[in-house]
Amino acid sequence: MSEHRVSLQVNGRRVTSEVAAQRLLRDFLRDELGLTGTKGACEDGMCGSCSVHLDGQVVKSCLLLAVEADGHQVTTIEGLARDGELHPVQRALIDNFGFQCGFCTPGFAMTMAKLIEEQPEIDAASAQEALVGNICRCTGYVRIVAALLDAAGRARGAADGR
Amino acid sequence: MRPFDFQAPVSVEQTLRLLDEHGADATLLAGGQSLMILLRQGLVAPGTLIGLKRVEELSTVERRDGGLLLGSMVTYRTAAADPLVAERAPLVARAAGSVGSVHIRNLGTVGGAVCHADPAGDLPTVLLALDASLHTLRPGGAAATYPVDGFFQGLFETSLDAGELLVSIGLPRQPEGASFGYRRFSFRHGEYPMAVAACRLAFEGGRYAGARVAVGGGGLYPARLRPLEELLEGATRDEALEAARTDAPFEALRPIADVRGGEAWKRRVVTELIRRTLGDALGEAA
Repeated sequence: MSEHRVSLQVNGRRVTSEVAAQRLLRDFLRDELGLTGTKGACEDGMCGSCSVHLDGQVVKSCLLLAVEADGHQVTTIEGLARDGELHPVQRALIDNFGFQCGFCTPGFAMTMAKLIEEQPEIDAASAQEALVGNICRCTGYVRIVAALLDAAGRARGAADGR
Repeated sequence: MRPFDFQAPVSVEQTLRLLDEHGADATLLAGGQSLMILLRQGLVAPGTLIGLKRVEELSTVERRDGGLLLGSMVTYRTAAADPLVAERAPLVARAAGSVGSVHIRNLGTVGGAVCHADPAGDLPTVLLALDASLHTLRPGGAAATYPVDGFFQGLFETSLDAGELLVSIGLPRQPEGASFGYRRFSFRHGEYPMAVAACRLAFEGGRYAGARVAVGGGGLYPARLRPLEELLEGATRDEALEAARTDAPFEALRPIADVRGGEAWKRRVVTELIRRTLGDALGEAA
């Protein structure tokens, strides 16, 4: 079992650490760095509760080794808010009651944050399709989709300077 | 997860050297969107895992002889969005854009899908319909090319030897005026599909020639449905539609019974999926 020295940016902060080869990025974030907003649940890559951004793309941190993130930039839910201001998707999830128990919420927020960036004109049908990689076992999907559409609308408004 | 050693080569040459050194004890890790799960379940337990994400030369998309050469580490995301893929292999672009969720598409790779050889893999099935070829290298530099037809040999089994690296996937220029179909069936959008169908039809002087019908989920591995291809060969459009309605060409299908359904029911679903896919290519209103 090999040990590796990794150096990566997590939420804008340089982190250097020794990790075992088989350490998942998710477990590294939670157990080494204490960033427990990233969740783990299904253990087979289906639930999306461990979603994070890797170099600006949303990925499941249970399907990536920590050693593979060496030299890359990772953003977790703890890094989504900027300067004390919630990210538009976080604000929209609150305003639309887009969560119940809240366990899946960080994963949804990370996926949604990329979606509104990449598809600002997203409509209701595409919104449902775009969220298939995240599972909510309280089944609060209607309000989560509403939050996504609301956040996309806000982001468009901000871009238009409104 | 059982402990292993990890190596992250940055070139094909380094990768081949590592394969030589570790032999059958090494497993190659591409995008990891299937293999990470198998590692965790203990179904794959290598002594050394060789991660390929830093081998940039495996991620290229190039024009080749009127067709396309796709590096094995091209992600689904790239394959779905690259204009060259859209122009020269639109079926590959569509299949890549349909796999899993955005998370999976961001890391999962075309070559990984080929080597994983899921019985209902989207990319393997589409590559069969397009007569793709697979280019590999072995330690010492020996190169080999496999037609994708015959490459899949069993459940999650391919013709690759231990120590052989899939470098690229060749997609030949498709016949002039060819039409294509691709469909997948899953209970829930974004799930592993239960079945995938892909076809290519080319018209020559009012008759079909070189028809390809490929199916995933119809047996232990993705394969061409030859009985149907033979009926389509030389057929007019009406004859092709008639052939697709008969039962005989579908009797060879042997879907694996599992939690989603028994063999007989699955055969009905797979048959209907193939008929609709063919209907798309024939320009029949679904």
